[in-house]
Amino acid sequence: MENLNNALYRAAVLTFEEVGFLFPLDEGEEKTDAEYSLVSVDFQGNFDGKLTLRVSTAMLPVLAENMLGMEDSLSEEMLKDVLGEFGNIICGNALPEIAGKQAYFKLDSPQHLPSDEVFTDEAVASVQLYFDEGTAQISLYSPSLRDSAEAV
Amino acid sequence: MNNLKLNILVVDDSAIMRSVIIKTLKLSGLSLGEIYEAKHGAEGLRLLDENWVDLAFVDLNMPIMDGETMIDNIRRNPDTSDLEIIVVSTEGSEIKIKALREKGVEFIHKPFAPETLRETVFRLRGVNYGEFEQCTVSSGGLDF
Repeated sequence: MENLNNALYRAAVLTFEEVGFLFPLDEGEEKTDAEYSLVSVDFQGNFDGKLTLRVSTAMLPVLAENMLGMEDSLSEEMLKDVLGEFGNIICGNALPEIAGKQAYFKLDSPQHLPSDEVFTDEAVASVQLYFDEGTAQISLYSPSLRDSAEAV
Repeated sequence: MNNLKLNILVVDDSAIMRSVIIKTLKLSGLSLGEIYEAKHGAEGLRLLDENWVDLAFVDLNMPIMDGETMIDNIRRNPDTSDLEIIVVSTEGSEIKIKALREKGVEFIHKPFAPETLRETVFRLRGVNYGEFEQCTVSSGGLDF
């Protein structure tokens, strides 16, 4: 499981740093009164599952401005698009780290979910990143990956 | 250097990613003509039917028609078979990337640095990026 967490962590840090120009803090804490946004990216391939990305809603305009280099306010649609694209990039980078570069995956379009969505499956890996602007939690769900890990 | 303006097509279901690619192109120093955008492969093919495009940036995972299907259609059509295509994707499978390159496309992995996109375009267009930068600096007034 540590390898899965490490793969998620590396993919997430790479994406936030290179796409969003946000650099995670060494430590932090989640604000209980903050508002969050949640996206899920389903995938199929060597193993099936989904990756979820839950970020402080306040981070989205910062990420969008950093990506575009604009300070104009962006529409809600554009901010959702930012979250979806981050989920897509993190997922696309995490899966080859886990399964190897010979593995093949197909990613579905990101799905935006209510921030309090509850998942019936237990995550096989989950990491939390802390930024000055907020927090990001990345979780990986895959019953087949969990079953194969438990079998080892 | 060839000063003809490039007509560009950007195909990605993410509006923000289309904006990032277009912004990077505008800042690259390339001479740009018309820039067309599409949210999926079918829309991209329609734009290619209606307009002259010199270079296309194509994502792979898109709804309605994915990037690989779009590329196959482009290569099958005698009017567009030679179109220069750069795939911009999170695709990590070496087998898949090799198969795409065999279709005559360049590949840029997301996330990408702006320099990577610029250098790929310049390489595709047969322009030496180092010489282009020197020309740009010289014409900025240092030698005049």
